[in-house]
Amino acid sequence: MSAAALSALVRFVSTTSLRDVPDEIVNDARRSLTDTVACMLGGSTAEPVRQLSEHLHDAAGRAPIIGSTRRATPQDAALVGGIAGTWMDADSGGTKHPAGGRVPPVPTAHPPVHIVPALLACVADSRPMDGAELLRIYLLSYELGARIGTASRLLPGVHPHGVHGTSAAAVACGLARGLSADALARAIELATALPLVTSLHVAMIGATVRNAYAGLGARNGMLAVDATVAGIRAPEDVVENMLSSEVSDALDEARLVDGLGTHWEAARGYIKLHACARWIHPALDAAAGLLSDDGMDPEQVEAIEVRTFRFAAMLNNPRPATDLAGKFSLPYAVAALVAYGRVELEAFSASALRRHDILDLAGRVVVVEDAAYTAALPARRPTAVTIRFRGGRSLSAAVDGSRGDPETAFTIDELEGKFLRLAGAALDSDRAESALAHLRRLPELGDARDLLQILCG
Amino acid sequence: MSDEVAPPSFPPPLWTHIAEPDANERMVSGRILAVVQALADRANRRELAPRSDPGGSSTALRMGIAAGRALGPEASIALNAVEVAAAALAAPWLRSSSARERAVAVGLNAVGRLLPPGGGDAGRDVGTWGCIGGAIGLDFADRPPDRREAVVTVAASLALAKVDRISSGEGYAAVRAGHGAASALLAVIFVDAGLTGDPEAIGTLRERLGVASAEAGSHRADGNLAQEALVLLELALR
Repeated sequence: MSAAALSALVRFVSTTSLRDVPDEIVNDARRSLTDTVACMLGGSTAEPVRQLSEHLHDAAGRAPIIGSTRRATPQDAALVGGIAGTWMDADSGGTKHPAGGRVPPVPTAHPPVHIVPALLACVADSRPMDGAELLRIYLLSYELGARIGTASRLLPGVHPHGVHGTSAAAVACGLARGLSADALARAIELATALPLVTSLHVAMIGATVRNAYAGLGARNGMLAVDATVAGIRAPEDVVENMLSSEVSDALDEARLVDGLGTHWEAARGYIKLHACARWIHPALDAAAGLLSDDGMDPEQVEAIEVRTFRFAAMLNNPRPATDLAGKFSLPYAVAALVAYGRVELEAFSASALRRHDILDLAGRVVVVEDAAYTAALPARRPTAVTIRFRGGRSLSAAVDGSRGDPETAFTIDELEGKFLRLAGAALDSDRAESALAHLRRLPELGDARDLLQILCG
Repeated sequence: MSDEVAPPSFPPPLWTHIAEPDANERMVSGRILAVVQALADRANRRELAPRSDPGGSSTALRMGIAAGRALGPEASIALNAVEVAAAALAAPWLRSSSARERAVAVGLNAVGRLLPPGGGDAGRDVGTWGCIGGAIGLDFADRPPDRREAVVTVAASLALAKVDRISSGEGYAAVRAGHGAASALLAVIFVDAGLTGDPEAIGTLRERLGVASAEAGSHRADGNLAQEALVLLELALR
């Protein structure tokens, strides 16, 4: 990245106020921040996350661990928050790479799950700010992270967490701490020099260390700011080195800076309702239209055929050993949808993963790659589902992709329903409602720490 | 599965080659610990110092960076020793000097088996092998194989990507050392919490760092790595 491009990005994030941003972009940002908080709260209930919170708990800690009564160092709070936010695989993703990009289609970046944990930790530890400032910092950090994602292509096999999101987290912390423009540029460079060696394979086999990538990315973003203040500098040309060869390639500098303030990459990300790998969502959307919202007895289903594109068809393990493996199993996810009516917290619980009826049905889910569907990538993700019920009846549906992109956005009711279910798992229902109320009026909130207090159990 | 996401094959388990350290290895490790502590204390980097840190990883980070800044990126092996020693100094569960000496000796043995031959390359080797070696040392006890594999594979997933031209950074190599130290601790904490790793993680790491698996081996596992690192550390302390 040239000095001019970095300077333009820094100037943009340092000087843009919410008044300069169209209302619909501000509202989009508030909704995605709300959704990220929901994922952090839902994920905080996972047993490994609970154990981490206990292990890292410090009663004198300067930051709360979201979704718990525990406190920790700001760095540990951000780490646990990022892990929690990732755990459900329900967090939002970046846009598809423009003009096709590499296949398999991997989301370009996931800034929110890096930004929000780090930013909330900074709010607890740094200068007070109001809700509007919190939202401003979130939006601008997201924009920078999303632009880095769409201006480059992740190398094959690289998982998007813990890579570009570190820079977004650094921007969030840098802005929260009031860094000068020059210091912010140095922090971005340093953050860009701290990507993890992440792997898609890790996620696809269900190795749950994947869920630590974004937490470490959030923490390393904070580290980049601390280290910059301490006088540490990244090697020369490290941004170019990283974005053009080491973790991604095809850096298109024009995409980094063109349309700053008028074209918002942050508004092009997707939000999930299904808490599993995005590739599986078209199959779930197709199947959901054929099923009851409350689920049904899996024994009533004789077989399910799914015709889909290659990368979804590859996710074909019917007996996942971990919750994350379940989130990368199309047969399991479809079977869980039948049983529960949705694919969210309970669908991947330890007890769900042991249910004989779900596992038996997963074994009756036949997944077939359709070459024509694969050829439609990345612009479309066609998938067709046929459910054969016992007794002879069958139903079919076909989709061209999955909901949650800006063009197929969920309704406010759907998104707030997700928030209340996930938040309600970690907080009591009154507190979950109160948190949502605070997030609805975030720009008017006088002190962002009021929100933090409500988000702790 | 697509070739684009298939990792290379995994070598034999690393920990099977690592034995209980002897008296000399412990003595050298004890000196390394003392020097790294002294370098960290001398630097007294207030900006990076946490007030309280029950998990230990922020302390490991601070010590790794503080001690690492006394070295240059050319002292790659010494930076690996900083990673391993800072992790041991910060680990709350290592309550005796004997336990910390053992952790460092084992950790550096593991680093020696992971390091590619040839010159040190801090932009590749720091924040990577020390993270894995450090984790092995921190958790070196009579453990079942699946626990040991989990620690190794989780640690390998927390390693940093490599950078070129590291010498042009100011203190950046030290940040990598701090990350390695902190991540060694976090790997053990993560495994305690139930996180699992990828059996192919070290192979994937080697591929991403541009190191063929055949190049890594026991070249530096004869104790000379620790001794060389100690010489460089003591020079930095003068």
